Amino acid sequence: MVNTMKRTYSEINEKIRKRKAVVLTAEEVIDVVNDKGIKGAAEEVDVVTTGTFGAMCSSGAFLNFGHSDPPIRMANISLNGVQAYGGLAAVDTYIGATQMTDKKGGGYGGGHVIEDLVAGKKIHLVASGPGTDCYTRKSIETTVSLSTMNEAYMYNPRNVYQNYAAATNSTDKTLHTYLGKLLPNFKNVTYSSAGQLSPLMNDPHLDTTGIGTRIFLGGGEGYVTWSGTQFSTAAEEQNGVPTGSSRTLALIGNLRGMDREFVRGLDIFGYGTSLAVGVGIPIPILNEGVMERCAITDDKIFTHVFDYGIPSRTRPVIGKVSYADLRSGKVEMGGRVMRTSSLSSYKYAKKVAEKLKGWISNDKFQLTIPSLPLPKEGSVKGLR
Amino acid sequence: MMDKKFKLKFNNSNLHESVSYILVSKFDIKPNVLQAKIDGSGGRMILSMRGSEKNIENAISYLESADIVVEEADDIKMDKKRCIDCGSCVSICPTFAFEIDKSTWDVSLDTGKCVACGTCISACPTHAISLKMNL
Repeated sequence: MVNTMKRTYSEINEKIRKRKAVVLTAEEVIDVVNDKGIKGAAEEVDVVTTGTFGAMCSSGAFLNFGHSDPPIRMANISLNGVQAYGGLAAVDTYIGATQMTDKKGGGYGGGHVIEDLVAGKKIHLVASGPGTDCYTRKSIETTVSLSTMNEAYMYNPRNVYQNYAAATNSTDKTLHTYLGKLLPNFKNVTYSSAGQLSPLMNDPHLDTTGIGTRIFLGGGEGYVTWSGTQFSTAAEEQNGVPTGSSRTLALIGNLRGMDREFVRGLDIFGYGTSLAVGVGIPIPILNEGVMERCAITDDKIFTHVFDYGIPSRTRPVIGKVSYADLRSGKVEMGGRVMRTSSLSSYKYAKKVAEKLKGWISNDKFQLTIPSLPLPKEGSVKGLR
Repeated sequence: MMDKKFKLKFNNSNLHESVSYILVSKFDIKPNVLQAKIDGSGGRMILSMRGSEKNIENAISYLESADIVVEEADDIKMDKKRCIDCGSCVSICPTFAFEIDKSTWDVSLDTGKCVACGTCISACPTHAISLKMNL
């Protein structure tokens, strides 16, 4: 296609400032493209907002508690009974989403601590240290909250996975996985992607998303800091998007300003805890190519269904399905009808995209030009 | 038509009653025994009844006249403040009690379809579903 239409970031931001920008969600824009074609839609639309809301295990937060008097160098730190990292400076820590409570019964973990912090709740802090000449105190037990801390920011090493496997179970026992409960004998298929609304499905080759891109993170403002861990471009593409897990992003954002509605601790039975994070990335419609990629629909996005009953890094593939099929409630594969359900929330993904659209439309959020592009290629190594 | 769940307590004098038969033949009620336990001192049963409000009322009066203690059982509950509408509960429910609306993507629960198997409890990552249906 010949690109006739061109638009710049500053032109878009100028329109945002004048509240004249045309902003649509990645779902809404589908109808506009069907109606007016790529060219017509590209001329009309300035920004497309995306959204996703699901378990993102590689998430966490850096916190600084402030110094007690006398001060302590914290080496063992627990927040509401959940261990936080003690290998940073005296009162700095990192709390990870999958760290589980030490308490019997479980059901609570780092993800829940982060949710409670964002909700403004008080957190029980217990810490101990070696006691040194400069940090004489050896232990402390106190209460902290978002308002008592110095800094508190989310830093997620791997979020917004571009596509993900779907799971089923060939064995005769129920499996409890990070993709949810898998009933025996291929009874159900579970999956986790916002599909046509998903940020990296709408910008599949990271043409507009880069380091420094301002985003919606957990109900507040965040930024893309780096490529995420396990960043890969190896998956086969169909309709211009990968058919398996591919690109990922590392994200940062202030916990202050986030909304508990979009930062939710999860307890995935038999697996552990995690954090559901709402992430939305705005896509500036710089040209017709960007517009075309934003018009992707669930029937054109495919993923593979893997048999999680086989405990191997290379699980067997049972089949390939589209997200339109997965979202229909059942899929047919190998003569079997399997019921489907999602672990990520499409309803909340829509909420994220709509909220971000509202911010941009009301001049509360301007688009940023990436400082650096993200890698064009990446592959994932295994562990021997 | 309505669905309601009850806890029934029997004693040695009425333990022999076939409650299901009476409910069907006398009150046009569709009964479903969800849990039951009988021992030397009597028995307990969690029973779901489907029928008109009037018939259910009459059936309860009849059961009580036979000295069977009838209490409304705690039903399955879904806390929408906790629920994130992911849908984890949808594909694992054997009686299709959970439904996801294809336009709003809202997950809802039809308690009438629930047979209290408890499969969904651990499938919910936000602890939004509770079922306290103890005999």
